[in-house]
Amino acid sequence: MDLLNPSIGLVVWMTISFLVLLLVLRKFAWKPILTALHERESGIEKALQAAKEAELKMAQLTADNEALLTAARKERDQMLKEAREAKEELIAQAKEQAKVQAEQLMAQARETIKNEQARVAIDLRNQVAQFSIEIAERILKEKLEQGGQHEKVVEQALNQMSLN
Amino acid sequence: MNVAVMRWMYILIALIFSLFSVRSYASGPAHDSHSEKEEFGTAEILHHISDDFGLHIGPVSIPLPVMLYFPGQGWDVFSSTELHHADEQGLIHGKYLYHHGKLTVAALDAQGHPMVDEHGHPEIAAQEARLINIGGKDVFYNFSITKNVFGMLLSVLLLFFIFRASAQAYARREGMAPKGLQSLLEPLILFVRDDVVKPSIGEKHYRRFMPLMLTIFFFIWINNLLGLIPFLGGLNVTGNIAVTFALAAVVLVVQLAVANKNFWGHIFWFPGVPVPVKILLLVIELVGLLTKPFSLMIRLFANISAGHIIIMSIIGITFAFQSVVGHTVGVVTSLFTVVMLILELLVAAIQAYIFTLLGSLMLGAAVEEHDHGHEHAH
Repeated sequence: MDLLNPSIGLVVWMTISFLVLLLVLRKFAWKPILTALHERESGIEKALQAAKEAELKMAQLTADNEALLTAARKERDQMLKEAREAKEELIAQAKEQAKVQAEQLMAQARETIKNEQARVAIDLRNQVAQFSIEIAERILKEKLEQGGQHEKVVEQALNQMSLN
Repeated sequence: MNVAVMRWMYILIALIFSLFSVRSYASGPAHDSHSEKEEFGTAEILHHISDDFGLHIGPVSIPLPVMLYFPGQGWDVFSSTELHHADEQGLIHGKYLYHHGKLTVAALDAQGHPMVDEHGHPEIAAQEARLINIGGKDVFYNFSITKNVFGMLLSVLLLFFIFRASAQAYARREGMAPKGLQSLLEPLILFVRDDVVKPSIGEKHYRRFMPLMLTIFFFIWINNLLGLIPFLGGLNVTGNIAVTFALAAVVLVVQLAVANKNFWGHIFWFPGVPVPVKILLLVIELVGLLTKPFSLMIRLFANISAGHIIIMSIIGITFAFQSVVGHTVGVVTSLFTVVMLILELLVAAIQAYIFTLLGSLMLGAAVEEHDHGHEHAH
C-alpha cells in the first residue's frame, strides 16, 4: 500500500527543505531569539539580586545610623556630665581659695591690730614715764624755791596730765 | 473579560472555517466525478490524504511541475495538467499511465501499444521508487513538486518569515517586554525550551539541541494547521509517511551522531549484568534504537491521517444519505465536522509536542552522563 510506503522523492525534498530550514532558522531566528531570552532572564535575575542587595545595604545603613546616633547621644551626655563636674569643681576651688584668702586677710588684720596695740601701750608707758619725770622735776623745783608748796605743784601737774 | 471575548471569537472563526470546509470538501470530488454519490467513498478519502501532482485551491486547479528522474536516461519534466490529457490509448506522453493518482510507465509492445495482462489490466514497465519496492520492476524517481512538496515549501517560507520577523523584534526592542507576534511566539518557544527540551536532555546539554527541537516543533505544528485549512488543496504534509520518515530519520541521525560512550556502552555491553543477559540486551537495545524513531514516524503520520480520514468520513455520511434525508444529515454532520476540527486543532498541537518531547528524550538518552542511569523507554 502506497500510503505506508514513503516515496523517495518526497523523502529527499523533505530532508533537504528541513535541513535548509533548520540552518536558516538557526542563524536568523533561534540564535537571536534564544540569546535575547537568555539575556533578558539573566538581566531580570541580576536586577532582583541587586534589589535584594540594596535592601540589605539599606538595612545596614539604617542600623549604622542608629548606632552612630546612640553613640553621639552618649558622648553628649558624657560631655554634659563632665562640664557639670568641672563647674562644680571650679566653684569649690574658688570658694576654697576665697576662704583661704579671707583667713589670711583676717590674720593680717589681727596682727596689725596686735602690733598697733603694742605700739600704743609702749607709747603710753613712755608718756607716763615722761609725765612722771616732768612732775618729779617740777616738785623738785618747787621744793627748792618755796618749801611747802609742793602739794599744789603736784595737783597742778596732775590736772595738766589729765588734760592730755 | 478580554479572554472570554477572544475565546468566543476563536470559536466563531472555527465555525466559519468549518462551514467553508464542508463546502470545499464537498465540492472537491464533484469536479472529477460524474456521479458524486457513488464516487465519494474510501478511494476519495485515500486520494485526499495521499500526495497529488496538482493542487486544488477551492475550485481552482493549480498546475505543478512533474519532475521524473529515470536512472541512466535523465529527466522528464512536464506540467501536471498534462496528466489529464491522455491519448486514445490512455497514455500520457506516449508512455505514462495515470490511474487513481498513481503515475506509472506502461509496458509497450513492438508497435507502441500498451500491453495488457489476462485480466485486461495494463502491464507496468516502471514505477515510482519507494522505500520498500515491491515487484522488482524498474523504478523512476519522482522529484515532482507535488501538493505535499508545495505545502512543505510553503510552510518553510511561512516559518522563515514568521520567525525572522520575531527575531528582528527581539533586536529592535532589546531589553523591552515582547509585543505582537513576538509575544505570541515567546510563550511557545519558552514552553519548548523549559517544559520539553530542558527536562528531557538536561541543563548541561540542552542548549545545542534547541534549534533542532524548535524547528521540529514549529514545522510539525504549522504543517498540521495548514492541513486543517479548508480550500488549501487538502494539504496533508505531516500525514504523509515520507515526511514523518524524514523527520524521524533526522532525529535518529542526530542521536547517533551525538551519542556518548555511556550510551553505546549501555547498548553493546550493558554494565552490571551477566554475559548471557548482556547478549540478550544487545539485541533488545539494537531493536529499541530503531523502534523509537519508527514509533515517532508512525505516530505522527497515523494521528494526522486519521484526523483527516475522520473528517472526510463524517462529510461522506452526507453523501451516503443524500437521496434519503440529505439536508438533515448534512446539518448534523456539519456540526460533527466542527467538533472534529476543533479536536484536530488540539491534536495538531499535541502531536507536535509529543514528537518534540520523545525526540528530545532520544537525544537526552544519547548524551546522558551518569553511569547508573537507566534507559528511558524500550
